[in-house]
Amino acid sequence: MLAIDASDIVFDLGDRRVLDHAKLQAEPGEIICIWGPSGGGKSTFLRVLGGIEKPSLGSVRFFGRECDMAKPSPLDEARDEVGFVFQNSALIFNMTIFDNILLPLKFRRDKLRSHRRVHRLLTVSLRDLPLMLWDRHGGDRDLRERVDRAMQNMLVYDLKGKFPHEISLGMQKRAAVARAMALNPKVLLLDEPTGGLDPLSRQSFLALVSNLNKLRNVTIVLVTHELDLPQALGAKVSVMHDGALTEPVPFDRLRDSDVPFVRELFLAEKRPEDGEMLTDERIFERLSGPQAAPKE
Amino acid sequence: MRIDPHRSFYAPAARALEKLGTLFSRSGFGSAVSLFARLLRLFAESVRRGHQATNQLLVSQIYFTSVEAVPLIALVAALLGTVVVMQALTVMPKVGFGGFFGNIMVIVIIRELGPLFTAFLVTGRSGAALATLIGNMKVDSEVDALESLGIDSVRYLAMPAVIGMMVGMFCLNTVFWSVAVFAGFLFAKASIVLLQIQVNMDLRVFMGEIVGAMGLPDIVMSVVKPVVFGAIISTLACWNGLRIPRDARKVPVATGRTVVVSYVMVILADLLLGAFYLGQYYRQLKGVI
Repeated sequence: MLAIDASDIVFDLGDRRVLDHAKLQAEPGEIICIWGPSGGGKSTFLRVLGGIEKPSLGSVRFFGRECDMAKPSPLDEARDEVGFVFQNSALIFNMTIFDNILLPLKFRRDKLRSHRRVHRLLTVSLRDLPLMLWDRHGGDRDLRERVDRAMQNMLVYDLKGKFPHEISLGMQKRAAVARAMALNPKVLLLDEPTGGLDPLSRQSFLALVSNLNKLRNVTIVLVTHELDLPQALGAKVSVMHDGALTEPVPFDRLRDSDVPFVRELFLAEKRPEDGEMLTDERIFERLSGPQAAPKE
Repeated sequence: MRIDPHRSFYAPAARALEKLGTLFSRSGFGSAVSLFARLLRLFAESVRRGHQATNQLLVSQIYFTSVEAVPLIALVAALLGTVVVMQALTVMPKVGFGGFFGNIMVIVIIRELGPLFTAFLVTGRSGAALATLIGNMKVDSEVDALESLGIDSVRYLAMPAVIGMMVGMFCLNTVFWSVAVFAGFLFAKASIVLLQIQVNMDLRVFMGEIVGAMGLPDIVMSVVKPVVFGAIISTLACWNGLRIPRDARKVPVATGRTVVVSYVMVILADLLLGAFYLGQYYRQLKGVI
């Protein structure tokens, strides 16, 4: 069964067609990078997958469960197994990192608590009564231990009492992943996860993401415009071009892609190992054609 | 025998009603009302199921709206109570003193200006802050992030804010009229002593006059008015905050709209609730006229 099956996603923004019958399929445990130039609709596609944007057309399935596209919402139960990490990490600014991660767990517990309070009081045995009265703290203690574990896994345990504005962007991103992973999703959507990070933070962040994939078999879809990211993660690459996504292929096969744009984009990346450092004019010429190159 | 609703006698009326309902819910006022209805449903569900995730937010909203606003409210209330008594003193010689202060305090402060001034202060302080908070969260994708974590943003952000502000408004209104009445008494007492007016004005007599002047409608309205005003202000703040797009320029616009529309809606609600008093005193009025 496919972890993600998005087909024929169409998204219009006013007169502009941002997504034009975009498709993406991912097997469980795969890492897929959606790659392409800025403003190409990569983040929009990810937001449609996450139920944040409503597409004009299309359908999305996670593990065979169809999402409601007429009224898409991240609250859709078909998206229960999906975690989303935003480009700006989007941590709640007036809560500590610890509380940010605790919050979804509290809400999930409330959701699962379907028994009515009076009903529980009437039916609880005398032996269980003290436990039920203690439930509030006991339940919290359990959740807090889970948050501690999630923070330790993402190496942000030392920041539990800090507010988002008090920590670096790299740490914010880690905390955001810890928050998304607190509910144990099987699919993780990451929007420009390494944007704005210094090389060291970037490397350590990628190692954590890779570990998540290997240890928990989490399917990861990430959006990026950096081409070394799929290499570092050993991910397949799907290129966003004219609102559509190409078939995901391993990074090494990008050079031989049938789509000329993909080959061009691949070559346009500055890759020192090729022995060629492209100048800005050369990149412009490759992308726009020789006739559009600026005249001196 | 099954009745086809599309072919029944009432079908055209039902369709017209449906269209009217759709138009209403799409209009600004309609969507704000439906947001409030949804908030009440969510609150009832939370109470029934013993949900605890929003308890902390509810308490902090009550604290922010009422406790932190007490100094401001007390100051304005004291000034207003003094002003009202000062104006009352100017007409005292014409109408006599007996039972006058109690009546004037009940009519002006407890019945009318107390809830209205409290609502205005809460709008400028808490309503604007709430709209800005939610608007900024919307712009920074924090609202989307909540939803992506399976958290209903209306339940998490709006419900505790609205319930908290309704409770907070009631508490603040009580503080407001208590301080205003006491300040009014102090000013009246000081004036009587300074001007050497021969009037028995001790606190017990003053409070007796107030209690005597208060009828059941006043007691009911001292609860209903602030709660209704709180519901209006907070619902408008949440509605304006939640509906803005991801555009930082819209946040101040939403905040300004919250304040202005809240003022208008609060006065409108005050007018409608004022009609309740008119109904209560209809017989007395008819007798006089």
